[in-house]
Amino acid sequence: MAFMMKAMLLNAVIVVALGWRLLAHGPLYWALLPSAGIPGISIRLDGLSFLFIILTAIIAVLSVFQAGHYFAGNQPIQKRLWWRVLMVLTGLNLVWLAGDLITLYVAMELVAFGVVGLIALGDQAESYRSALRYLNAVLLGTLSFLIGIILLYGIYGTVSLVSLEQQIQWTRLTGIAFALMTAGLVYRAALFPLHSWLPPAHGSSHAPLSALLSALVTKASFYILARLWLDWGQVVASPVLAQGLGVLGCFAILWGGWMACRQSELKMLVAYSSVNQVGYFFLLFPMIIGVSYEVSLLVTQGVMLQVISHALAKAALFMAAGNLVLALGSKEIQHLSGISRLMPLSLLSFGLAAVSIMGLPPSGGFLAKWYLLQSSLLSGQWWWIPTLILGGLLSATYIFRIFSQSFLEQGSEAVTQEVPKALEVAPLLLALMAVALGLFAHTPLALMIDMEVADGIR
Amino acid sequence: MAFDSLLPLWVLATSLVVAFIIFAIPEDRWKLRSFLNISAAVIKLFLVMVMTWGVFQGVFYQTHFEIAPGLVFSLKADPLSIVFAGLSSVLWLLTTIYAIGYLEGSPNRSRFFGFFSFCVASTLGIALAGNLFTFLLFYEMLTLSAYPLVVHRGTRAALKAGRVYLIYTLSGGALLMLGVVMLYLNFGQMPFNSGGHFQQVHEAEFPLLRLIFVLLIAGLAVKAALVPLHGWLPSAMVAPAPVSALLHAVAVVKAGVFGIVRVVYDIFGIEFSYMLGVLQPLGWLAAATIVYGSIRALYQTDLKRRLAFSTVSQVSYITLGVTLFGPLGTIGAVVHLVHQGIMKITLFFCAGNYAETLGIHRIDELNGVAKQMPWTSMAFTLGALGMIGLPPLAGFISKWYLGLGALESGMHWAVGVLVVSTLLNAAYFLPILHRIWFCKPEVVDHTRHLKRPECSWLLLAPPVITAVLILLLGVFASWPMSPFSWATFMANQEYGL
Amino acid sequence: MTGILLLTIATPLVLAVLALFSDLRSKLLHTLPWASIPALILALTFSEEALIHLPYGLTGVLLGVDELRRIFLLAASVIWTLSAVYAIGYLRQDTRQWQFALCWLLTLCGNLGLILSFDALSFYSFFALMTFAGYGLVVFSATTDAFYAGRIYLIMAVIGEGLLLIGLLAAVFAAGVNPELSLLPSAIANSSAPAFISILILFGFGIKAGLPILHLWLPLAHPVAPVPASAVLSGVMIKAGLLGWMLFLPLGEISFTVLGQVTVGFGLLAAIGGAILGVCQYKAKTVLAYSSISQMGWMTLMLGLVLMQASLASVLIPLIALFALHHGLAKSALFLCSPMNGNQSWRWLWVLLPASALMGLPLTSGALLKTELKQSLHGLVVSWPIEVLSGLLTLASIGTCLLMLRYYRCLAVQQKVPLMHPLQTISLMLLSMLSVLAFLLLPYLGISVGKVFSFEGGVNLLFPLFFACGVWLVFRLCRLDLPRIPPGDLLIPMRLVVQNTYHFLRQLIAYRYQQVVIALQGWLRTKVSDMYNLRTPEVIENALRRHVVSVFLVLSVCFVIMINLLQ
Repeated sequence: MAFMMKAMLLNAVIVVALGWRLLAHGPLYWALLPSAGIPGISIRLDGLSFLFIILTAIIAVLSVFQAGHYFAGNQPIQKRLWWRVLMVLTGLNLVWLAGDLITLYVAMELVAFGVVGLIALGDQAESYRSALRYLNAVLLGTLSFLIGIILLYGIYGTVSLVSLEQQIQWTRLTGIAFALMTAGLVYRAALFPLHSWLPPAHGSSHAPLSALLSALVTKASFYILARLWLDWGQVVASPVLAQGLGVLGCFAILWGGWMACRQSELKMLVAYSSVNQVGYFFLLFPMIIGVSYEVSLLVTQGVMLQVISHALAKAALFMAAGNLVLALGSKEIQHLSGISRLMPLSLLSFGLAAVSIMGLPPSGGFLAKWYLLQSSLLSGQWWWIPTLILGGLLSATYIFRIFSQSFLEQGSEAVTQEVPKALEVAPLLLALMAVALGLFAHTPLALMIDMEVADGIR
Repeated sequence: MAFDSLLPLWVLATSLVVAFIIFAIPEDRWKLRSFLNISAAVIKLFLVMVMTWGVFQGVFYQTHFEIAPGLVFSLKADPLSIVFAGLSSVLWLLTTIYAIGYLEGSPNRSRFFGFFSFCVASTLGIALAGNLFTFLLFYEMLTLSAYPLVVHRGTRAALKAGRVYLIYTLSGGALLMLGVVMLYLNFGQMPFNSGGHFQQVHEAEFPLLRLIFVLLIAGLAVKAALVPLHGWLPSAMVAPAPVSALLHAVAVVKAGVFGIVRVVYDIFGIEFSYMLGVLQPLGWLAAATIVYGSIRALYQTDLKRRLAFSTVSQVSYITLGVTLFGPLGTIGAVVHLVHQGIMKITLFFCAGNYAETLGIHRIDELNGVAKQMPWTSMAFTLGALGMIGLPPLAGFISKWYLGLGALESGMHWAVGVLVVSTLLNAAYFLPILHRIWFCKPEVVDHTRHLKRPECSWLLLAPPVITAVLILLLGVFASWPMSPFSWATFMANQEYGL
Repeated sequence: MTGILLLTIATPLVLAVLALFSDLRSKLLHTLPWASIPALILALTFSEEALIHLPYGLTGVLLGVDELRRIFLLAASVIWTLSAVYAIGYLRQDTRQWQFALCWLLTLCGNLGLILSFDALSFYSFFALMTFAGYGLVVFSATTDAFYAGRIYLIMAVIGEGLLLIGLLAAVFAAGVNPELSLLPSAIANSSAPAFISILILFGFGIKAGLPILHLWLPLAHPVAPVPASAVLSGVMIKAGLLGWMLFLPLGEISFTVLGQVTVGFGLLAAIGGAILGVCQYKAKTVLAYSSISQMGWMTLMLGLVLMQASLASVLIPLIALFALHHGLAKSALFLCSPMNGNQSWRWLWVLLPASALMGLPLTSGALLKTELKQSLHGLVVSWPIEVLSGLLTLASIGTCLLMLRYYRCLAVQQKVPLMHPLQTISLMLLSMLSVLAFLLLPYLGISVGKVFSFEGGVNLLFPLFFACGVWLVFRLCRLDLPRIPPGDLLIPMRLVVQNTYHFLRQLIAYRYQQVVIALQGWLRTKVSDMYNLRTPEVIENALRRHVVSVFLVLSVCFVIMINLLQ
């Protein structure tokens, strides 16, 4: 673990250096093999990717810290754990930075295999099943993505995102490629109705790992999708597909929320909450296609805020939930009675994170909802509003199921184990960050808007 | 200068910081916790007093920074916010003292006092919010921080009440948010500005503005407990007495009404609202609530439930006053905001004392309690008579100005509503007073009879102080720093007199 | 002057505060007479109008005293003081003395305060204080009867407060939000609805003044209170309504033909009807209560005349005030006499004195006032003969005499009465004597009362008594029994009507409403729990999980199709 913490520290140093570079010289595009036509490795650093890098660094360091304490006495797992975590983190950072499709593909695979390994770390049979199901999703999704890449390469002869952005135009084949890539990424991002792999995978793995998975891994696929749509969407995508994705997002919000309300296990509830929250991300697409620049700016800000705050909040939720489960020795929600007296800090972290999940102020989730409401009003697509409002209420419903239970004083003879204090630090920090994002969102958003790579390629 | 501009932030910080510290204090360190709580309350009161004096002198306190592009977090102190901030800081101090006494020896006190401070911080945020966005921020914070207080007892009934509370308030919050977003989108930033923002709006915008008004008011009406959105309030009665007191007098209910006041006066502007034709319907709604709440209160047998329905009715006086177009109505509304708070908190303190000391919850158990608890009963009596609006108590001053406002605005029916409500108030309060003072107790507990004082002074002092305030605020209504004078000051500003 | 003015109001309040200290409570009763001494001094030493302004109180409090108020203050202070002395004796063995004393002091404060108020809000405040503290006096005996009477008292009082509130609001608003009392009458006269405001004020104060139909509480409440409390209730507090009328109504500013005639009618109804109902009572104090209604009828009548014809104001208003003084003294003396019976022969003198004053026998204040009233009728310009009115007034006088006879009779047959304490006797004596002597002393205080020792129309004045004695004799000789009319007369049928309507409505509305609400709630609850218990979502979820590959393929195809639409 000490080694891991050092690695994380190094990562942090590099992130700071990158940030300095970005602020000083603006966005960066760098190709390893710059000769045109040959698929090569290229890197792109702009405001958005930098945001995700910071996010990754923060969540990574905290979940590593959490995992270190969580598995403190468990050497066999620790042995198998760290390299998988590192693989995932490498993959993730590569995803944020990738400047071409091949790099993206490789990065995705890197993440995928690391994640399969992490899920399989859970000791029950259920974990293996989940890991396999995830693998299935990954393979199919990535395959679909790969077909898209091949088609595009066939048409345009390049995989560089920047050159593709300049060259791309509407042809039927481009459309098919784009649709297939979208479908694959949608699968990996666990959008309804392809979400079924996510809850068991996240719900059954160890809490610090669930935090990592739900906070970052689902975001990777969405990040790619968003990037592709932002870059090419105006040319390639059709409003129908965009609206379709939005509708699926709505279904995800409602279905995920509804299913979360029905779960009896704490971690499954949190996992279904991810399904619910991922739905919001997909409201991005209908509101960037065929709308004014103002709307697309608003909605991008909103969705990115949602992504970031969800990452922070969900990580906190999983870690806190893990602590509660650890203390209770039971996964069941109905055993939570009286926990508020025993684990006030974890419950507080849970609550703060939940504020963001419910989209209540002050939190990143609230600002995100604010921007989403604004953009749907501004674009005239008012039909998203009922879902936005209902989704917030649904998430409040499932969140408060837990609080209700934990405040219950009757029958609170829960046998509890001592939970190390160190385990309560990371969730609190994450939750506080999710809340603080609601008050200090100006800097990250400005970073994202001002540092667009399109401003100048170097 | 820096002090001036940061003062609103300091006022907020006093309770926010304390809230976090209290969460961290171990359960059994009650002395430390109480000390922190009370000293924070005192400091806050002091700061608010400084601010009051400053505003009186014409100093302009403002803090703001940009949260995100287009969204400004802004705190400022104007006469209206001083009214609410003053009320909440005074009552917070008293309620804290009361709560320390009330919860002595009960579990989960850390949690309770932590959220209690949060609650007050949110209320002060609402009071000092400089624009609608900041208002919304604290409004929702209040919703959340009041929940743990409502369900504090942890019984099934409490949890059910908490659920009802959340269903109502969160839905209301969503509507409010939608309204605010629409307002921001179509008309830009909305700093609270006396006189409103819409003096020069084209007629074509009127339907949209009406829609926004309805959304905003619907969102706020949930907390303000306007019929038919009042359902949560009576069921939230299961909360401990200090919470009910806070909920009914200062925090949640008042936040809703204060929001209505803000929206009508400082966003739409009273004259424009009048032109928009939205005041009349709101007035009818308020009138319906006043009468309905009172009638329901008549039928309650549980003391706290009766008080709750009384709140439903009384708080709508304020809304009614807001809809009366004219400075007198404004004075009535703003004064009642304060007076109702003080009267209701007295009643709830007393109800808590009865429950805590004698185990009395139902009204028919109150026979002759004055013998055993004379001070509490005296406070209760003053509170109840004030609620009825008997001169020269505080409630009368506000009722009087509401009545004058109704005449001034030509809404003569509102006077009728006030009188009917007075009669109904008398009908449900006077029998209680009769029981307390004149009926013979069925069973006299002689062991209690000899005990002096009747209950812990922590429980006794707050209601007695507020009861004296009820009397003083009525009798010396024209004292230059009284809420009445402030309201006059404010109304003159609003109407440019 | 201002010092004693403030002291008048402050003294009872300060003494009331003493009740908070349990050590001082036992002595509180003995301080009662002192509480009204400043008022007495103020009333006696009054020389010129005085006014003080307390800017911080309410919306600016004005307190003061003028000629009119002085007469009321005189009556109030004398009666309160002497009744307080009486109370010390009366309640000497009661364990709850201090509670009585507390209510007494607060009521006193209200009463004195309202007399001295020069602005509407403080008048209303003191009026309310008097009313609600008076409740404590009414129910002091804590019997079922007292509680019942108290309840009716409160209901009526609250209704009165409500009516007053509207009236005062309208009046004050008409005066430009200025609550100064002296401005209100002309403001009402110049407002858009003077009659409406006047009606509200008439009825609002009418409840206190025992206006017919609004009098229901009076015969119940006055008798159940302890004797000294009854004395002040009937002697002084009842006059607060009258004073309210005189201060608020636009008397002398505007003439309301119809409203005035109606008020005169009400007055006559009270004067005669009160007497008739009172004669049918079997309890001494109830008879007196009805007598109060009857006497208030006289004053109402005079007020109605002024309302009808503004020009009469200058003559009648001082007369009304003097009438109030006269009635107050006599009635409270009679009330103080009520714990007596046939065995106490020598004390009958003290009953006779006030009774003769009330009956208007020659040489008494009653005679003077009635004669002056009849004289002033000549200034009346009306379409109907004044003789009718005059005749009806004679009828009312006969009624008064009959009531006194009835009172005498009721006293005579009273069973056990408690022994009178010397203090009681002294105060009773003083008050009795004052009730005849007051008008002789008034000129020394600078109050002109006209010729008291006049035998003008002496026979005319004795006629009602003779007539009444005749009627009485007829009844005695023929052994006719009087019908028993329960105190509160109209109240009984009204109660029935109200109760039945209420139950009917409650069954009709509340029951149905509850049914509907309960049904709706139940329906909702079952629907929600049905939805919750439904297994369909899990079935769908499992299907999605099992067929995820097919779903993915279908979705991909859909995406491909969709991207080609609308391109």
